[in-house]
This record gives sequence, structure tokens and C-alpha cells, in this order.
Amino acid sequence: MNFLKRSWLSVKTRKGKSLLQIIVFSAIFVLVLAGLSIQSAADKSSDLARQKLGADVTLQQDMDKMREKMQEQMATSGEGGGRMRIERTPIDVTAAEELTTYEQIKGYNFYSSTTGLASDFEPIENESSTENAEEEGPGGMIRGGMALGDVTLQGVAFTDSETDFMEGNATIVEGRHLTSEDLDKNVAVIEQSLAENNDLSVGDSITVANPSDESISSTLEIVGIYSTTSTGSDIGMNLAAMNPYNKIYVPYTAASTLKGTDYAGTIDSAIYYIDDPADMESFVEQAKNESSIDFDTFTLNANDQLYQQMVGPIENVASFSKNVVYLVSIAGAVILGLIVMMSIRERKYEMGVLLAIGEKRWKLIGQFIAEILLVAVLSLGIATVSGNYVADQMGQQLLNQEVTSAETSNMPESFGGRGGMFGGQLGGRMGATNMMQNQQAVIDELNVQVTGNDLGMLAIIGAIIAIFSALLPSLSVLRLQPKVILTKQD
Amino acid sequence: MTALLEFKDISYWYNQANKRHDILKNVNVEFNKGSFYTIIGPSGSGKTTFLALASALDVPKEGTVLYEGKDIKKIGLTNFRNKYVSIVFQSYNLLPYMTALQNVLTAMEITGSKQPNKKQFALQMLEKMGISEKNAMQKVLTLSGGQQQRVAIARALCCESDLIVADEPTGNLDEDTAKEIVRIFQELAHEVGKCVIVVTHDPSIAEASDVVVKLTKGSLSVKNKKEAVASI
Repeated sequence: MNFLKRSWLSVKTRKGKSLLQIIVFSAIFVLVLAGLSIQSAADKSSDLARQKLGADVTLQQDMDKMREKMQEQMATSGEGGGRMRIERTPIDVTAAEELTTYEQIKGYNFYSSTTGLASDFEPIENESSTENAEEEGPGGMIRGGMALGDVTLQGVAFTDSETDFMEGNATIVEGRHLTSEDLDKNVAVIEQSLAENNDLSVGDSITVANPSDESISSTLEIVGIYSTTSTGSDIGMNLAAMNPYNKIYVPYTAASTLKGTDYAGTIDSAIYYIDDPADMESFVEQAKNESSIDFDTFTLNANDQLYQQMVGPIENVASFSKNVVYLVSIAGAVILGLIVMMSIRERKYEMGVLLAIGEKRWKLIGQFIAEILLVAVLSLGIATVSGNYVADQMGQQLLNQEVTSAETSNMPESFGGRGGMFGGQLGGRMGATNMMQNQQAVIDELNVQVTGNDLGMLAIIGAIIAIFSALLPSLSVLRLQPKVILTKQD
Repeated sequence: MTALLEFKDISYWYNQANKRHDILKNVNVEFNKGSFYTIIGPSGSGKTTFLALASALDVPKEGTVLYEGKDIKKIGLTNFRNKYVSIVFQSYNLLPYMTALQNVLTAMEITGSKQPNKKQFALQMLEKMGISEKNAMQKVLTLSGGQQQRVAIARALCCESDLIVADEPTGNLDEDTAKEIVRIFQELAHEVGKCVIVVTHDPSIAEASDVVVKLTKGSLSVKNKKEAVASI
């Protein structure tokens, strides 16, 4: 009877001890399997979220640094206490273009916005802006004397990746989008209401002028008409230029031209869309190391807030699951090791007999390992059957706790935990809507499925636990000589 | 002719409370194939130690145990026990979770028995020892002391080594079975050509053996059989 047969016989005969080992092993396996499955499910969900959401990085003026600089200047010039004036510094477009070649990005857009005066068409106006216009003439003046036009010229590199279009608030209803092919061309995409009000269609032209210097004007050929669902803001509705129907998309080069010669070859900001939020850091790092952008003036703001919000709870669950796997594996190996150690000590006599007959020591160790592996295989079967259910319940429970915790931490203090305040005190629909959207964005369901990979990993972990828990106690006993063991037994 | 087993200048002692207690002192003796030896001597004379050294369960403090002229340390103690010696223990030393048959088969497996039908051979040997097939299928702990002793002897006899050492093998057996065991030992020595060494207090076994070796206070003397038996 070889050592493998002996191990089977031993497990079969020592029913009580084998059952105890099976129970302990099954508990370990179920927890480890649950941990592994939750981790896999969490990773999968995170990957899906990453693929779905991506992330973006915005290149813009560093307002914090700018503020600090202005404060220093004011302190030096003795103007403390006066009104702070922030000076906008445009971004050199060639510097912004350098980043478009980085491999992390899947797309980009450049922005340059200004207002203009409608020269040969009528902007859409509302009651209050009409009253202001009657008093002040076309456009308006904002405090400080700066002229404000009656239309907004939103300079972009592409309209299809402009925020409103990407979020579905704006859609092309006629003609086409603006692309990088349109740069340096005087073309425009206008809103449907503006087009209808002025009887304009694709192929027609409109002229807009610089509100501060009407000698600077541009005639723009309409290449597309879009419709918007945006209602604009209450403040914005008082100013014609802020009316969403008066937003005209043009190539950023056209917007810069209308701003004046000082703005030639510049943009206000650039957005870089990154496939995988995980690459965001490397992108920013590469830009800081390799590009010619002056990071004393400009900054790259990473925006993966939605991704972080979405995956935050799930990452916590994954991290907890990983810890569970480690802890249970180590604690399990220790507990099992102690059980096996006790069992082996009780079996010194058997070892002495087998050694006296001439059994090789490695075969005795093999027998103990085979016994524990046999128990492990039976436990693996139990874990496979019950693991899916346990993992699913455990994963869902953990995720629910994390989601609740995330919601609580995201909720303003004034809500005081009362859901009724959403529509009441808050008043603003936007706030409530955003909150609802944010809550929906959180991954609050985990599709926990025990996969072949999880089982494979569990088998490896189980084998390691089994081997260590059998090997270490065996070594201590196997140092003994058979005569010593048998004499002590006698 | 090289002896099958030779004790050459063997001494064995243990230290207790910084005092040396000699068990065997400069023992020299040879054992050959085809002979049945008995080791006799009073309690504490070193018989069990002698047997432990002969079966490589222990090593001498001084001197060499040679098997066919080779130091058994060089053969390897485990290897020696595995291939060259079969042991019958006084306290049976059977594996309690196995049946009688499984105990015998385990030993045959470990020692690499070349019997074509191991189970059949084991059953035959157990039968020869007075263990029925029904008893052979029982867990050894359910057998009587005498039956367990027979299983232990069957286990040793089933292994194909040339050297068989036994420590009080008939101590728990009735007279008839003891006689049968002695007859088997004689048969193994004289007909199969094995070397059988038995430690005993039983004068009938000593009388049945070819050579009686007497141990007295660690010293060994090969005695005239009649004189030796009379001294037991």
C-alpha cells in the first residue's frame, strides 16, 4: 500500500478529525473564494466603468497661482484692500498641440470663446435683455466698462467633442460638425432657433463684430445647425450673449481672430480625453517633463471625478476583499497548521512504525500532504457549490455599505439626512438633478460570479495552505529517530 | 566467507546524570544466512539495544555493524531497514487504522516486495500464522494480542529480506502457535536460507535455535546450547 493509498485510508478512518479539517478548510475556502470573486467582479466593473467613462484633463490658466501673484503685486504696490483684477493669459496653441501626440489620449478639443455683435442678423432676446438693449444699444456693458456682445462665439477644434454635444444637450439637426479641417476658415454652426428666427440655413453667411472694436468683424459661413436643450441660467437670460440660442460654434481660430491680433495663435483652454483614467497621471507627468507649456502659468487639471465617484465604493470593496483573502489565507494556514500539527503529534507512533519498516521520510511527509490535499479537494468542492452564493451575498452587502457610506459623505450637511429637502429647501432643480445623477453613477451592483480563474486561484492558494500546514509540523516530528519514537510509545 | 551481519567492536552506552551507563561493551559476533540465532540474557543485559543495532533502528557509539561486509551506515539506515531486514516488534507496532491485511500489504509495498500477487501472498502468510481471511479483513485493534502478534510476524515474513530480527515474538502467543512460529523460523533459516535472530526468554525457542548468544552485562558469549538454555 503506497503512501497515497495510506493517506486515503487515514482520512477515511479518522472521520472526526477529517470532518473538522473539512469544516475549517471549507470555511477558509468559501471566504477566500468570496474574496477572489468579489475582487474579480470589482475589477471587471471598474474596467467597464473606465472603458465607459474615460477621463479628461484640462489645460488652463492656473488660477491659484495667478491669484497668489496678484496678491503679491497688490501688496508690493501698496494697493492692499483694493479690488483684485485677474489677468487672463491665453495658451499658445502650438504648446497645447504638443500634448495631442501623447499615446494616452483618445481625443482633444481646444476652446477659445468670446462674444460678438450680430451685424446682419437678429440674436434671440428675452424681455429683460430687450429692455437693457433699448437702454444701452446692442450688446451691453458689464461692470468695469468691458463691452459685451449679443452672441457668444464658442471657438472649438471639434464640435462633436464639445461638452454640450457629448452630453447630448446639443445635437446637429442640419449640416455638419466643425472639425480640425475647418481651422482658419470662417465657418459656423448656429442654433436652430437663431437660424429660424433669421431665416438662415446651411450655406448662408452671418457677420459678427468685436463688441469693443466693431472694425474687427468676421463673416461666417453656416455649415451646420444644431438644436439645444439648454435653458441657460437665470443670470444668463438677462444678457443676450448668454442666451443658449445665441451660442455660435466657430473654429477656435475664428474666435481668436475676432478677439483681436493679440490673441492670434492662442486658445483659452484645451481638453484632452484619456481612454483610461489610470493613464491620467502618466499623461500629466509626461506633459510636465516633455512639453513646452509653462506650468508656472498654466495647469493640467485632471478630471476623473465621475470615475472616482463611480468606482470609489467598488474599489473599497475590492480592497477589503483583497485583505480578506490575505488574512483568511494566513489565519487559515496557521489554524490548519495547528490542527495538523496536533494530528501529526498524535501520529508519531504511526510514523515511528513506518520509519522502522523502512518507509522513506519524504513519503511520510507526502502522506500527510496528500491527506490534507484530499481534505482540501473535498472542501474545494463544498466551496465551489456554496461559494457563489456566499460571494454574491457578501459582495452585495459590502457594496451596499460602501454605497451608503459614499452617499452619506457626499451629502451636504444641511440635508441632515432628510430626503424631502431635495425639492424643498434646495429649490434649485439642477442641484437635485445632479445629485440624483451622481447617485445613479455610483456602481451599486456587483455581478459576482465564481469563475474558473477564481477556482484556479483558490486551488493554488489552497494547495499552498495545505502544503505549508502539513509540511512545517511534519518536519519537526520527522527529525526524530524511529527507535526514539517507538521507545517512547512503549 | 563474509558473514551476513557482523558486529565489530560494538559498544553502546548512554549518559545519565553525567554518568556513563554501558549497555554493550566491545561486542564482536557474526550472523550467517541459513541459521536461526537466539539472543538470551537477563533483563537490562542489552538484548533490545542489540536488536535495535542489528535492525538499524539505532547506531553504535563505537564499532561498526557490517552487512555482507558493508557498514550499514554507508548503506543508509532507512535503506537498510527497507531492503535488508525484517523486524518483529515485541509490542507488534501495527498501524491501528488498518486491517491485518492492509498492515502486511503496507510493509510489502514499502519494502518493494516483488510478489506478483501481493494480496494473495499476504493472505497465505496470515493464514499460515493462524489468521483467517475474515480476521485479516478486520481492523487490527479488534484482534486479540496474540492475533496481533501473528499479524506482526506475518508482516515481517512477507518482506523479502534475508535478515529477520524478532523481539520476544512468541511472548503473547499460546504454546501451539508459539511452536508453529518457531517451526516457521526454522524453516525460513534452514529451507529458505534466511538469517533469523530472535531475542527471547523462552527456553524452548533457544533450544530450537542453531546458535544461542548470551548477553551478560553488555558482554556477549556464544554458548553451548544446553548450557545456555539451562541458564535462562
